[in-house]
Amino acid sequence: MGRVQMMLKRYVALFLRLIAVLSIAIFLAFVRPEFLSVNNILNVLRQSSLLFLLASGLTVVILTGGIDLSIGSVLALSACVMGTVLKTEGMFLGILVGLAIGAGCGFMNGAMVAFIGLPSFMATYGMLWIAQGLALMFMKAEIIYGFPKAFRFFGAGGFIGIPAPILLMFLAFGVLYLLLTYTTLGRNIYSIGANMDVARISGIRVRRTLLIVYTVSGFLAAFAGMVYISRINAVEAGIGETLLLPALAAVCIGGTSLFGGEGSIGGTILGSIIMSLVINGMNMLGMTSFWQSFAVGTIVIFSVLIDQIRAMKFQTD
Amino acid sequence: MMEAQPMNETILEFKGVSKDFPGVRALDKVDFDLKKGEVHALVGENGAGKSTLIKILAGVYPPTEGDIYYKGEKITVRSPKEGIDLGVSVIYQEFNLVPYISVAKNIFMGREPHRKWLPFFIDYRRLYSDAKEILQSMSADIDPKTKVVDLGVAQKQLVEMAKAFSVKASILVMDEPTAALTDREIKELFRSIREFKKKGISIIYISHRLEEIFEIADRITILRDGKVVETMKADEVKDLDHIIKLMVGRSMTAYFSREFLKEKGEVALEVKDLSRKGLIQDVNLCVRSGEIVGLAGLVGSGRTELARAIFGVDPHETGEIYILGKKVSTNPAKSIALGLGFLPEDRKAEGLALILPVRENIMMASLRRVFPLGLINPRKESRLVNEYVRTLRIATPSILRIAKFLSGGNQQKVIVAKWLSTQAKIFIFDEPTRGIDVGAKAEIHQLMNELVKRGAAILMISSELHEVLNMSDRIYVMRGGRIIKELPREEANQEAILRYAMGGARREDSESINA
Amino acid sequence: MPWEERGGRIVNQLTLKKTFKKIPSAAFALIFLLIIYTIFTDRFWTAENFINLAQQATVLAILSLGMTLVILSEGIDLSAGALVSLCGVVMAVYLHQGIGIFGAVLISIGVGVAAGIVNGLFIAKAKLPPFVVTLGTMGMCQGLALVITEGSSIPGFSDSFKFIACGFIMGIPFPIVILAFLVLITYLILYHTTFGTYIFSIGGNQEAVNLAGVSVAFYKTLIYVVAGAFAGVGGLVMTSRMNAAHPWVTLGLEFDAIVAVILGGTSFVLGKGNPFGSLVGAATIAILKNGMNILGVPIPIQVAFVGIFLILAIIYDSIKGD
Repeated sequence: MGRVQMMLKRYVALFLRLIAVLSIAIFLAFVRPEFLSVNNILNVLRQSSLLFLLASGLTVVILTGGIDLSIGSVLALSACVMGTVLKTEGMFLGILVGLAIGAGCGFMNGAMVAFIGLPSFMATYGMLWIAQGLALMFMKAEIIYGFPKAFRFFGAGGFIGIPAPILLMFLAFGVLYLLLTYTTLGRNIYSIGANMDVARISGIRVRRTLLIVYTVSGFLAAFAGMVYISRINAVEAGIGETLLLPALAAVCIGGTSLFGGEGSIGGTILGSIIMSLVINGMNMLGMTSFWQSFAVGTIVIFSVLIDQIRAMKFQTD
Repeated sequence: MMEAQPMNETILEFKGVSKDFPGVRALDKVDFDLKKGEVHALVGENGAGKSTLIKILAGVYPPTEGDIYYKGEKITVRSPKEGIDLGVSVIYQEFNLVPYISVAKNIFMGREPHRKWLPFFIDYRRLYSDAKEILQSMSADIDPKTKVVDLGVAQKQLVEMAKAFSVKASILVMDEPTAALTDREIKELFRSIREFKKKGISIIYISHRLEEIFEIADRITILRDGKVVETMKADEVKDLDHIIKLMVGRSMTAYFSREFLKEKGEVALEVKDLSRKGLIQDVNLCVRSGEIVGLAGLVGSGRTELARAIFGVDPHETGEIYILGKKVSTNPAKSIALGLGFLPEDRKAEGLALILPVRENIMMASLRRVFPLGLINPRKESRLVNEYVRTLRIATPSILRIAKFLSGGNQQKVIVAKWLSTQAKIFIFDEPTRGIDVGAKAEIHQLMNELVKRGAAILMISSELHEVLNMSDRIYVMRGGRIIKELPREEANQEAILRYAMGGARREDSESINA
Repeated sequence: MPWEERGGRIVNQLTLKKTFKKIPSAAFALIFLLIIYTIFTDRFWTAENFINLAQQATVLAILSLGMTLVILSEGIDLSAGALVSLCGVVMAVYLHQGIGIFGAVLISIGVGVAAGIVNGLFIAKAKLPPFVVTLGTMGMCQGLALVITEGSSIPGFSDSFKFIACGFIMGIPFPIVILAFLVLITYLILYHTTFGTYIFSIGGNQEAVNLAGVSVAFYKTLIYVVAGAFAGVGGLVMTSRMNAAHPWVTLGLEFDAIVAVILGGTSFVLGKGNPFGSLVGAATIAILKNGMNILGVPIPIQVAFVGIFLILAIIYDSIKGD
């Protein structure tokens, strides 16, 4: 197989997703012309950014062969604390505390998986409920409105006409891409996901890496929360509830395999855009949010199914 | 052993059966037959073809050529399940039992007796009584109500035999059945085997324990390099040496001749009194730079466990490890930093990450050393990786090719490249040329030679006697988790190694290392 | 009793240690809770509270039975809670259209069975990881339930329907009767049918089942179908108790059920466990929440505690060692 052909093969997957993005966009533009308004397109991109920020941490965890089911609740918990603190103690402290809480929850996930040896879906499922519970307790069913102008920059502000969330998305993408492609840590993440035994024999500090990975996921969930509440200018305990499934769908659609070792952060961007397009489309077509939950659930199952089929074909090649 | 049952009827016949894998011919025109009610032992070194023959019979894969006749009819077994339906039951070393249900349920899995008018409801009375009947007819003293998890190894084996009996197997294959048994348990096992013979069940018995084979087998077939050397009646065998000579044969194709250094360097790796319960016991060895030390022994003798303990993948309980004179408690990261490299036995599961490209695999263990700040310079990396690909002549269209698609020999070279790139000075090679074609074998041996010429020290585990004798300055022979003998090059030959590896003395009850 | 298969030549001589190993963590948790609640409040040990407790615990117990089967087979069902809602909602719609009680029962169970088939297909035939599939079906069920009710609830049923949750038979609350019936069914399935044997075996050594010629895919699907049916019964009881079908009130119920099963000693990797332990586990969780309600502990903290209990239970199981 020639070199050009091999390179093409590597990028074929991403290519296909790009085509999917364009097809959906074209379809929507055709069916609902208002789709093409600048406002709407910016909206979609903003949504994608938000989704991406959450899905990016999840991507890194899934690359190691694990899963983080707690990202929605961790987002909620850290956002609630952040929102509360920044109204009373100032923006800087608020952000710091919020991000620290996200990282802390992630760290605990990592500790359970790496040191106690719990399966990741169990550990993070437990954390999902603990974090959600803590968030509800913290907020006592209140809603906090009205954040300082400086803070609102993250969600509602912009730079040279580009909305801040989109800029932050590219920032996060850039950092993670560099991390995964050009650092030894990134390499080790892929190795652990590909074959944990081989990684261990190769001298990779598996436990330490897993700890870092889950902490990053928690941190990014908090970061996503920060941008989210900045945008809607409010926070309440339930904000993370419906975010896990779309984020998971974004990662799977983006081509990252649940078995670990395969996938890319670039794929997750495309996956986030596709998911946001689909959700935007569902909104435009008048589907209620209830149908949307149904649809997202179906999408998750089918994207995992496709991944499985692809993996089985790979085995028998 | 004389038999009461007339054994004229041939129940199974392999005619001209061969099996090819990429690069290697595992079975070469094998003729093998099995008579009704006989115990037919299959003997041969590791890699002689025993397990390949069994797997073909069990339906794990088909033969490349040749025919199999069962009860006179030509058959093809397409899957393990078909094999069982046909009447072939195999008892592997790692049993196939469900731990938290009873012995009786395990025996009758899928065929549970049910109450007359209720097809899905288990008739426990009949279940237990039928199971008890089978167990008693085997002279096995086990309560069918016991959960399998509460049984010892010997009892689990008997349950597997009962399973085979209840599916009306006509052929039972037992793979190293006595590996973990005490003397007393072996006697019980043989008693059950004799009961099976009386019922007309034929048994293919694979083992290295020649004394046991003399006791239980009617005929013995010796395999060597995929070919049948001889099939003989057990009472025609004079002594151990007779068999060993047949197992090793005379021809020794030296596909590579080593340059042995006159002067060896310092002691690079030393192990003192290393033990790990049930696996290795009081192991002492040393390897100097400039030499290749061979570690010979049978499957299950503890060689891989020793290697893993030295490298630090598995813990050990007592003993000390010295690398370059320094006492260390090893874990893989530390071992690598100190210059120790380990090429595992199971290439696909432990040596390579199959879904990753060649580049990532080669660099996996040396990233920390080459890029201490944690940032990868892709150009430097490519240069480094390409150099190894070139030097080792790894056949791949690019360093980005996924490792899965390389041939066995090239995969092994990638693993070698991986450890070379760690600048290791001490290597543990576990079965370096297993399943690799002759050409690639020679290349790897050449490489090992170059390494020691430049001062490396190599501990080489191998089950191929040719390789061990060809390449080693000294040879340690392991058996039952201990180092039984150290042989200098001049004194070593195939018979000697096998004799030490197989041993002559019986073990007492208390000595069973796995009880 | 057959499920207490003991005896025979046991190699391990330390029977005391073995008996200790059989005690599920639920027992310790339960004793701990009872002691704490006795000390800190006098409203716990009242007849009124126990009736309350029984009502709250029943649906959880029913769900835990189904979840036991799933976890025994090395699977998990994250959609159970949402499924309870969906079953109740669909049934409510048909009730208002005039079908009788009997029809309502059939529908509720039928929806559960349908969901079970969907789960089973993707898990058993397509061999996708159970937590992902049931995460997806959870979203689907939740979504469907919300669509049908348009976000609100469906209230107001006949008195005869109310009997299911509020009626008494010979002095015993009807839901308990239903629960007892389901316990009997679960017990029969697990310990008296081949199906039950295969449930244990799929969890313990799937290959052994396969080699014996038994269709793993079929029985795995059946497990999720039974779990779905149980969720349907749960939906029936819950809707009757609240006299309305709420699409969201069962949020988190599957979490309670999973914790109950694990507290009860069922292992999610070994094919080991028993439904009676799950009942003890369900009782433990219900008592945990009941006591905390009495003590005025806010619900979110209750949820957090359940999570902590889960993690402690898993750690306890791994220390016990297998």
